[in-house]
Amino acid sequence: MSDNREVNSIQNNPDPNYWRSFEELYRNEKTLKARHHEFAEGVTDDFDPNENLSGISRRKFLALLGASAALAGVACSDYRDKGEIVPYNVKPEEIILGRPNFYASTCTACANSCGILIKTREGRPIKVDGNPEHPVNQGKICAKGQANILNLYDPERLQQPLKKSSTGFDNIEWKKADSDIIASLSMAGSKEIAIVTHTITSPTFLKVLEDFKAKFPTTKIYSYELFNSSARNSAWTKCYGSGNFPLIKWNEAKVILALESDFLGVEGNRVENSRMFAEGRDVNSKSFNRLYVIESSMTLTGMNADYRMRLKPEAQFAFVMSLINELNRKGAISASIASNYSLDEFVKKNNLDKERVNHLLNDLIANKGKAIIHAGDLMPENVHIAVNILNELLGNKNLYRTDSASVNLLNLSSLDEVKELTDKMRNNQVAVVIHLDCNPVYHFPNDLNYKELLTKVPTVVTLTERMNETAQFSSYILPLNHNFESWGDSKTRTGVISLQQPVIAPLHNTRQKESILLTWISTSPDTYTETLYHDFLMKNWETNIYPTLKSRIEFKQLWFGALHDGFALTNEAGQNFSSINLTGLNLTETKFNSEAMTLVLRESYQVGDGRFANNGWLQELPHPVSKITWDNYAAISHNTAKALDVQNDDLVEVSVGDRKLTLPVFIQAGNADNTITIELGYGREFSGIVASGVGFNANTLLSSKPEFSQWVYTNATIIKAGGKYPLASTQEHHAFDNPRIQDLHLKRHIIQEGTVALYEKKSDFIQEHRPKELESVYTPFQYNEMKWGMAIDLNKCLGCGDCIVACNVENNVPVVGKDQVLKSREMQWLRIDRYYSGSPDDPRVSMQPMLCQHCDQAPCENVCPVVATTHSPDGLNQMVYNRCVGTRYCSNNCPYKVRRFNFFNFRDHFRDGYQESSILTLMFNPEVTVRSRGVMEKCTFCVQRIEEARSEAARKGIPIKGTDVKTACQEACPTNAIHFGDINGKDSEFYKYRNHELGYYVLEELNVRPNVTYIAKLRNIHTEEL
Amino acid sequence: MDRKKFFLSASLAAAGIALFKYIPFTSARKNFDSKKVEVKINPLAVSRKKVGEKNVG
Repeated sequence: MSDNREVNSIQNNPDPNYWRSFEELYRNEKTLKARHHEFAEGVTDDFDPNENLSGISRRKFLALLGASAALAGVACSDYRDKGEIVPYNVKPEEIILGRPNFYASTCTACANSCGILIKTREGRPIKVDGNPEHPVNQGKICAKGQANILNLYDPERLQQPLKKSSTGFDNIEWKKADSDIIASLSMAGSKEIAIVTHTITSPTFLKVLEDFKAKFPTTKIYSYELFNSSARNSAWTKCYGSGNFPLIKWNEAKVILALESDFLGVEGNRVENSRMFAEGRDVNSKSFNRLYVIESSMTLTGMNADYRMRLKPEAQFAFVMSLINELNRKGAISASIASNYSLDEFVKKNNLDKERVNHLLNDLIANKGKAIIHAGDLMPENVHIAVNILNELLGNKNLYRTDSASVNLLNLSSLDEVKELTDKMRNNQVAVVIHLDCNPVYHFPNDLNYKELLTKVPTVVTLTERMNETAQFSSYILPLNHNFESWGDSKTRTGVISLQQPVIAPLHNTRQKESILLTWISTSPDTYTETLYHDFLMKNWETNIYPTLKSRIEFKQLWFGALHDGFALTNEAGQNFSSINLTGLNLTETKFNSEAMTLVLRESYQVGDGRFANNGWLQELPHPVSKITWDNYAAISHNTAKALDVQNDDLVEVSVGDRKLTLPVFIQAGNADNTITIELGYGREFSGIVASGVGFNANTLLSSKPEFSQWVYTNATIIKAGGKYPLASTQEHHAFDNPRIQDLHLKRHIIQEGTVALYEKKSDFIQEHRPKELESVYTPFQYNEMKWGMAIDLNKCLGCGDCIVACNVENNVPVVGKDQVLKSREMQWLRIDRYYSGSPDDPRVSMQPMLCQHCDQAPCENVCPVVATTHSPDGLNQMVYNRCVGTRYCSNNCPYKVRRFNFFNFRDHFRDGYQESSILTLMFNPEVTVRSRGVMEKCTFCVQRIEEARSEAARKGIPIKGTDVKTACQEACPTNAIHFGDINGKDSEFYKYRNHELGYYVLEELNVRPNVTYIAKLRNIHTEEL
Repeated sequence: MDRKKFFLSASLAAAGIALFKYIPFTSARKNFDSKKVEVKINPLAVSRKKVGEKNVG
């Protein structure tokens, strides 16, 4: 079948025909052939006896056998002593062996400062979850926040202060380092002391910096973020006189128009955004918002759109102005500012779908005051201004939150201010540069020459947790405490201040940055004590914060109570917005060539701006859209790929001006033509064994003089560079058999979806597809008491992957590395299958978390020769690890492809045994067996949590209830898409989903009786048919 | 095999095994365990026993 015929047949097919990749869409022979095989090609190559032992003689075999026996004898005679397990001599009062403790604290993985609850066992932090009482994130936390625990135990953390020498770096005592640096600060004279930092969210740390400035008056603070809201901020300053832009009531919006905005992915507080957005898509209340996304690159937000259109970022301003003009023409608003723009012409010129644009217009008119238009952080100021005007004209200010507003303690430095710093460095006007837990050598555009200019500064001090690009060029490197070892506070919202407390004493000879600065302020290295910052923080709260809280309880009571809770509520007024000031607003359009190539630089979903590049769990988390792990790449549309004659993995050279980068290409369905999307945060150097050399440093494409936006560059070029670079994508791994070549007589409704209109008309339309239950020759086991089950609401699942990381942390799932992912050997127990339907230009996207379905008639159980996989009386499909002999029959027989085999002891195999270092093993959950080579594993429904709840119920003498247990994935899901409980517990929330009219089971026709119910996705479009 | 060659092979094998015992293959790998760490709790932090507990308003 030709490509075009195939695409046409898909477009015309009313029953969406799902495809996972272009290889599948275009019937790539190799891909289809792979579907017949349970295991990916080459997955057992390392272990093929025919290949490795062919042609061996009897003599050689016996010699090898003898040598092996001798070596084994030697090796076994020196069994590694892993130490003794002894009880506490003096048991700490708060520790009960075998019982966890929880500490409320604040996450510092990004500037959102979510409230977290850290679970510790015998003093070791082992799991991070959101703090359920925290008013902002309400018990949820993103993947980075959860994976941050790995950073605490990272064996490559700096453990001692270092001083640069002629041969590298030498260890130095803290006292010596402090006195040297204090001397440099005191001798700065009239020269500047520059402090470079990320966003400051702590009011007490800000006070430390003010004290520092008072002590050393030539100090100047430069704060920056690689990705920030500076354009939105300046637009709001111009429109409303304040840069504090409002938070949005996503849950109340009936229509959302996202313009190049990934508010569900990487912009703003995405945990909060996701929760509120999903509240507006509720099958129980039959309330559904409608999401329009107009963007250049396929994003997480775009994947969840009801209507999505592709548009180059430079055209967004003209689009908003054209909308204003058309709404004015239709009499919906009164505005003459956009009379030069025509929506019809715009639609034609940019090849937009006229029908979808009309739907958008009608929805905006019909939902005045109940719709919100949101432009992304990557957009320049004029787009934000135009959006502010449109929201104001439509009365959409109703959806700006007035109960809480974002708080900006210290404005980020502009690019001009950073240029001023580099000019001063060039002119020898800077005596000391202090990098506070940031990495400007990696983050700043190369044309600022920051790295070279550091050599002109006499004293460069970098405070960091681990070695990085900036530390390499520093005179002193001072090791910092991890977040979990530090005190702090944070204020990012009105109405609440969060507290951060150390849940463990520092593991190494490290200090927190505030204590280091306080020591320098005192000018005496002897001032430092372990409680230095704790005392300062407490005093600042007592004198400056406590009086503003107007609390009726005395300070110490409030302090300990707030530490227990993780936050204190404040009595602050919300935010009110005056009318927009239209005078002097910049509404001029940036002209661009629509045929030229545009480069869009975005934040990585996995490793952020590179701060988490050392974190294996995040590196191995499949990209939510492309499913690529361990790399970044240039994403282009399939039309652009055809024009360039490139295929996936081909190397291309991307250039903007004189800046060039060679990297592999990935053809992304739904990308705008002539647009290249690259995610930043990769290509790290000097950053340890996990981060260094992974991906490509696209920061080299940044410019300090951007014409359009800091992250969008017009007039880019892309050429085929020759050569290939394999990208490790999990997209085609563990795919179900192809319905068109197998079981033709059955329609496999793996993804089932419909429309809101159809659901309103016929609420049980999904049930039509469900097969009849087959009679069994056996009497089925009756689960009269407890039986565990799960329900996943696909209307709320956004495909973010937070659940995957939660599962990894809870269940000690190892990182395997890129080479193993390429061989389909990733170990994650939970994957999110992503399907496209429709045309490759404008595909619809469906997500489906896939995990062990704990089938009642599990086909894996029947084939295990050693009874290593069995069924429990409460409905769990169990694995007995120490029985498993690794036949992999169970995996071969699993229709859902959810079993994972330990082809190696991956802890030993990955990066020189990085995961076997004694410090990293402190992170393991002691309730979950650490699996070794040759053992099969899979989702257990967090059986350890079930057993914990059961033992707690037994202790209380009451029966266990389904609501007593929350699985790790359920706890982490920011949108509450996952429900877990007892299928017989009729009064639970889970029961409603288990028996929902939109509920179905995947591959139900196989009669394996799975126990994970999927709630079919509804698309809120204007027709009944998809 | 003559007597001389046998003893040479045997002694080389013994030396190799002895050497392997003291310098195993893993010595070529990066050592992540340069220092033993001690786990201590911070006495000034405030813990709780349950997830859903709230103390003050």
